[in-house]
Amino acid sequence: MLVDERAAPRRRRARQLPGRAVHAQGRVLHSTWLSHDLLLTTVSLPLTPLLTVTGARFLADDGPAVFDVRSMRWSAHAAESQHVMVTMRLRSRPPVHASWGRLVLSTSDGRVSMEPVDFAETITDLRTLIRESLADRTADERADLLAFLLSGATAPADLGLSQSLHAAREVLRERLVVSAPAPRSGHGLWVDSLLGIDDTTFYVQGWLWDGDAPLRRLTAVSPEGDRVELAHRMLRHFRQDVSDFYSPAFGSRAYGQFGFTCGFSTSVPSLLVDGWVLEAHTAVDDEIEVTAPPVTWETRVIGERLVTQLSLDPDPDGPLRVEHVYPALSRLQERRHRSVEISELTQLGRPAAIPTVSIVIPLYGRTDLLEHQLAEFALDDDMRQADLIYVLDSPELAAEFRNRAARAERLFGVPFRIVILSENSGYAMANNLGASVTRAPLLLLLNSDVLPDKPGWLGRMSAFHASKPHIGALGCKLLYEDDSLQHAGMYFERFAGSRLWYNGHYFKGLHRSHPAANAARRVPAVTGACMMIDSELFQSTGGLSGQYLQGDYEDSDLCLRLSEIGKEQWYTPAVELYHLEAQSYPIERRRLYSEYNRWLHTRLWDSQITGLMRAFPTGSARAEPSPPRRSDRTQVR
Amino acid sequence: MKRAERMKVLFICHGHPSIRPGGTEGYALEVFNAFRQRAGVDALFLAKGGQPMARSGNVHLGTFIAPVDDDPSEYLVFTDGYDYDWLNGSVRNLDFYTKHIHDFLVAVDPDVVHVQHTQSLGYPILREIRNSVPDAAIVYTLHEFLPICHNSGQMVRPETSELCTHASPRRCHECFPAITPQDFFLRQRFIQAHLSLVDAFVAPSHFLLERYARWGIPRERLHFVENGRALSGPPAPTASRANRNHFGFFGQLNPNKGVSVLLAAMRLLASGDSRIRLALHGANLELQQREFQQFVTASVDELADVTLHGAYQPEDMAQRMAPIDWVVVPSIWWENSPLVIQEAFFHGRPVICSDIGGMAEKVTDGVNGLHFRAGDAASLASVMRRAASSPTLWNRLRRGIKGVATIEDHVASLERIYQSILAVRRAEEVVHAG
Repeated sequence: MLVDERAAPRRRRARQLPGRAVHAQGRVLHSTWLSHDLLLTTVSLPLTPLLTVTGARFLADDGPAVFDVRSMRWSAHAAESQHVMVTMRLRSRPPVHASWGRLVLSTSDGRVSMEPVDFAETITDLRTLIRESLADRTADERADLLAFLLSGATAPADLGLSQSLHAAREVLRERLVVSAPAPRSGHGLWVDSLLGIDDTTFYVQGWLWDGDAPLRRLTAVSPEGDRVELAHRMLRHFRQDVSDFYSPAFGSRAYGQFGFTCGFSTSVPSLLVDGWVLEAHTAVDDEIEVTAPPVTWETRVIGERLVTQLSLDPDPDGPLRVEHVYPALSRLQERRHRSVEISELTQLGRPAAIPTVSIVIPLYGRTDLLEHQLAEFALDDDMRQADLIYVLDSPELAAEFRNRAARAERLFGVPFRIVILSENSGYAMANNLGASVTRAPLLLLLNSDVLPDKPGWLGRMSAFHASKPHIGALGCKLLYEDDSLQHAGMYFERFAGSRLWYNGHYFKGLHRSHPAANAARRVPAVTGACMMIDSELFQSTGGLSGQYLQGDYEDSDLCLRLSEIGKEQWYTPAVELYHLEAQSYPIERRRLYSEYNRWLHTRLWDSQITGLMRAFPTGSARAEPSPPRRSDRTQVR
Repeated sequence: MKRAERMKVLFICHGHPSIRPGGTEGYALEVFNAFRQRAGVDALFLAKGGQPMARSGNVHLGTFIAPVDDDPSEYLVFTDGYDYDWLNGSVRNLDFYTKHIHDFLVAVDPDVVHVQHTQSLGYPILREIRNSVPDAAIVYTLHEFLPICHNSGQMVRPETSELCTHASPRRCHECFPAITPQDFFLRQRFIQAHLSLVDAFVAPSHFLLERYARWGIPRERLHFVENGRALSGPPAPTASRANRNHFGFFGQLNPNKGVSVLLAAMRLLASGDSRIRLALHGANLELQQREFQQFVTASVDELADVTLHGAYQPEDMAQRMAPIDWVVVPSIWWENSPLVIQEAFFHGRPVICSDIGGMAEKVTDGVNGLHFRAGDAASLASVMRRAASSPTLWNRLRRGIKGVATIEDHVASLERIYQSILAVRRAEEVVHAG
């Protein structure tokens, strides 16, 4: 049965091929496994050197299903034969002694069939195969072979294949002069770090000194041999240390932009940590290379490094952000979220039969807030009837947390579920995964550092939600520990000289009794610290966006999405809770994350926010119009 | 409700006087013993035992309680191996409540649980009482301001020793900069959430009652009940002398009792001509900070007219009181209802005390004693000088001393409170059943 997926439609019968009949026979020389399902074979054909090979097929013979057969002519120097490289994928590695079938090549001169051969007998190791085939090859021919091997290796990612390709690369690669930066040398190349965002997305930082002659090409070569051109897309920047290194010998010429930072993609997945090489080619045909340090794969480190790159260029529309850092961070977040899942879901206590509200509370780091919340919830019947879900986003605390949660349920008597995630995933994912297991029609997102003022608040909040037909998200009054306002609705504002939108909180810092904050009203957005939304609506929007770093702007992002589909965001002062937002002194990293989030938020929502804020006041304006002035006639003697 | 005839009352306290003498523990035991004499009441006492106060801890595997002595009504409960959260007032591992306290409560099955103190036992004990014996009345005595104030419940600001009138997350953070205002807020809410389970609070002074009312405890649950004493024997005779210049201090020798102020006042008086004599009767000096201990012993050595006597048992009181004319209560914190004031009045001795808090409530300036400006050694010295130089003043103030409430009065009031709560419970049961 013919299973070649690159062939013409499968309705053709086996062994009956179009074209001229076979008129020659070839011979399989060597084969080797590049991965568990990819076979490389060299065959020899008794053809004239000018013949071109146009295709290859495999006629399976009750053997393994074979597909994706590719070929490349690989001329031999012997006048009477040519070599062709063929790669093919098999659905499963066949047993050693089965008879496989027949390899048939199509050429400009007709079809050539190989002698029926038991491929298993031709299996050898990769180095031997390449060595046998490589006698007297030019550098270009070797590069062609490497490119050919890569072309058959695009997906899926496979460590065995990566290692084979790396071995092939090491044999086939043209080695350049290794860069050895010296103060008097006219060229130098160095890689400071190489970040592996996912198996086809990378980010490189380093420096390149081209004092002698300008750079023409900068090529990143993956361990597997994939080549990516960087020179035209990378961003160059000033590097004090590099300039200081070369200035004694080169004077003012040493003060230029010799650092580079660049995000890029490979066409072939790269899984190996060691083996990346950067090659530089200058205008005077100098070629140097440098080995990159091992690839950094830890997502947290990558996130930090990418964010610190932002300080190189503050321009919000500049290429650094738009073409390099943002795409990289975007892919990083996707990678983080792909792998995280719920590793445990446990019910503690007897839950309500038909809960009306599901409450999702992510816990991260400070898990002692659990007991504080439960001590309050225990005084409130509404909470015993709710579908309470605590999501532990610090899985390293799982063992201790499980015990504490069980004990707390026994003492406080409020039933709840615990969700333990497979890895730390951040605010958005923790909420989304918690929301994925809710049972009630209404969803409340609640922070772990929120404490109710008085019992009965949940029922009041639900009632308000039910009273507004077009409601999207509902927020409520949140107080600091000193009874001042932490949240009474959110708005967006821009400051002079900046295009970026900031999230503002109406009346923040004023006393809880401030009149304007005690009016129920529509608002541009509400905080995620205590946000009520219809469960299905939440699911239909896709939940909180995982694009933002370290929990910031996800709430306003959701509200803007809701606004886009015609939903209204509302604020009710009849529900009051405390939100103990701690004033931790900002560290540099947190500030950079905030800036990135703000930039991303503006990039995604600029025009919508501009439109929305025409209908709402900002925090400095009155929430309600001032009362009309009394006429002067009231001033009576 | 099961038994209508006999009422079973369980007292819970943070210590036992046999382990460490202390006003609160001692008084709790007196109340317990008085209840044992009452008709129709079965009384039990559960005290926190073990480290750090006692030399021995839990010695049996699998149980956390043990009898105090051979008495089936007095028990110790241990927290060995359990970690205590001193800020919020909770044993961290809640199994302590849901297993050990639970088992004891279910076995004992009290009608009333009267919590004298929760320090080192934790506030969640109140939640466990509600869980295990839901029909029981929960009564809680307020001895100081520990639920309000993290500085040993004194409401005196550390560093400055300034008196504090109200707590707030920001102010508490100023007293303890390493603890955030948010954590103080959490502390307050946690404690208040548990105290909301209490049916009735007992406060031995109006001053303290008012503070708690302003802090948020519903006024209808706050009850003023004067501390009563089981003081036996005749009042100590007074020495027959012309000048009333013998002063006495009775109590724990710790800084918040104002010992430093008193010694500083004695220094000021040393140069005078009134030959004022001071006897310090007190316990637990060895538990205090080294600096304080050294200060006290050095002052005693230096001042010829100051003598240091050690700890005393209640039975010794009359004997110790005999040579004393005036009792000084110089506490630098508000005090609630110092037992020593009642003891002094029982023996007919006028009291010189700080002009704040529970002291100023129990002693009326110019009637049965004298006030001085709290914390002010010069003010105290001046009052003492005046007191020592005027025998007529001493006589007049002695006559102004009214009778001391008895322990019987006190427990009768308590029993009335218990019964009223239980009556409401019974009525609610009828409503639910019907």
